Amino acid sequence: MSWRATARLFGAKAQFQREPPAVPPPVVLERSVGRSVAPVAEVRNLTKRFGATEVFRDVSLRIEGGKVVTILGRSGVGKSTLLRCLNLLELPTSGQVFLRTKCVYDNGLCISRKDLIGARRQLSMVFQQFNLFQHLTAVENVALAPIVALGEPAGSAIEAARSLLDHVGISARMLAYPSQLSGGEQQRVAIARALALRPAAILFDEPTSSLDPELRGEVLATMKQLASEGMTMVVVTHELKFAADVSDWVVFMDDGGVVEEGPVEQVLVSPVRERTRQFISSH
Amino acid sequence: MTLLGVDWSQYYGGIGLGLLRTVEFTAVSYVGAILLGAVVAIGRTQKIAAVRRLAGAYVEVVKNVPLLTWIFVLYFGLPSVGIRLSGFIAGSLALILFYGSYIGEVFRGGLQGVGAGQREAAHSMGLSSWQGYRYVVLPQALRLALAGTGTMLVDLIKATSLLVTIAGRELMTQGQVITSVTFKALQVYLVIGALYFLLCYPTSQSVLWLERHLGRGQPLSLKRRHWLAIARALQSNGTR
Ligand SMILES: Nc1ncnc2c1ncn2[C@@H]1O[C@H](COP(=O)(O)OP(=O)(O)OP(=O)(O)O)[C@@H](O)[C@H]1O
Ligand SMILES: [Mg+2]
Repeated sequence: MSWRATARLFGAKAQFQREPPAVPPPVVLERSVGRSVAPVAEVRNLTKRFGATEVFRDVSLRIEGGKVVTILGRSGVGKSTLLRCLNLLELPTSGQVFLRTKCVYDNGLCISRKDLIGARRQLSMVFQQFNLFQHLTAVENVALAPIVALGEPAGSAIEAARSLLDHVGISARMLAYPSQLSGGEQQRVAIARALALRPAAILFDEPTSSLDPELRGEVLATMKQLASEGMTMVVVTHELKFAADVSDWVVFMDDGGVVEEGPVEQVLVSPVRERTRQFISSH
Repeated sequence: MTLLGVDWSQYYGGIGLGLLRTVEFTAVSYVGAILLGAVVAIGRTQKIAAVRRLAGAYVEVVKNVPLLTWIFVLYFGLPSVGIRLSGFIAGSLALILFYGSYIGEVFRGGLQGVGAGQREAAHSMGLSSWQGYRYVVLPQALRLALAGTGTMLVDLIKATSLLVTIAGRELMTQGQVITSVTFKALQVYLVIGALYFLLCYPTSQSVLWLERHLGRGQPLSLKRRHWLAIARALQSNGTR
């Protein structure tokens, strides 16, 4: 069963309310000029500072539906911060963030807290440290948000959660607590948990970096499977081979922001920038 | 019954009342201290610096002055400003104020022991702050705080004996009364000590048991019990 079919098991109640944007974003104009659909998410001229230190400046990025975007760059360059700005776990300093056609952040102005919570569900996140809820079993980890945040009945949410675990190959361990699972299993539960919200895209922040090399394969395989099923994904990773295999678009970040971006053949095979070249040859 | 050269039968009533009173002091103070501790812990983990500092100052002031001083201030001191509290009220209040600050610290440790990643995961999944607190942070913080909170209960039982100084009529006061009649301090206080042991030991053992029992994922709420039941049923129905 594909994740879409699985997601359909959830009640109908969970449809997101997409209000018309307060300010019609330019995407709408583009559409009238012939662009087919709005991107799942988009940031424009995003700048983020922590106090006096600027992490990045003027970053613009489109996340198209059904595409896999990988973000590369050395440690500390702001990859996580960019992901966290995308779903507003972290507030940008300036710029704009769009989810679908809705402008959720515009130069210091953010949509209301309540709307923000709903907006975040469209982009669920998979973390480097898994961050599974330690006091809940695997299946409850997956079902918690549908039950609590979407208000679905426990019975159907848990059943759907089991199907999602099945989809990532660990329904046999559905009653295990995170501490009883291997890192690779935990991360696959985390992926199932992210799917449970039927997000428009999943954001992965170095999903395999804290795994032993022999456990990385199973997680990468699960991610490839999702990609082949058409899931929109944004992946921060150090796995260049994985990036080369699945990316539709590669973004390379260095001090101050995005240095180079483009399809795999450009960024990974024949990068234009010196720093990109150095980064790739050092991996 | 005669034990250690004292005929205890004439003191059964007094000792019984003393035990009851000790239990009353403990129960009232513990509940009060837990409520106060929760307020203190929430205060100490607030974003607003003033609230945080206020709660912090409270903890430091109360913790660094002996409990006995607080008992005396409330019982002997307040009447001079026209506030006359009964022994029970003054004693319970002193215990609540004192243990509230300690339990507040235990709770704070529990709340802060739940990693930021847990909260972040909850938020990234569209849980509101309150839902994240209720379903993710609190259940884990409670488990972390369980051992410390239990230890405080045992400590509190023993601390009620300080109320002998304001004639609290609890177990220790009864011991003093019996000693003043029998002049057998050693024997009487050994027996009183044994009674405290009989109160405290099962309590601390129960705390240990609870800790082990709730340790991993034992449901704390009816709601979760329901979820687990559904999940278990699903698994045993096992499709393939
Ligand atoms: N909450 C914060 N407060 C202050 N500085 C921060 C905060 N979060 C991140 N930074 C800083 O912002 C910069 C970018 O951090 P970020 O975690 O986004 O990097 P990264 O590219 O994800 O690195 P890594 O590959 O190690 O995960 C770092 O210099 C970091 O110290
Ligand atoms: Mg990072």
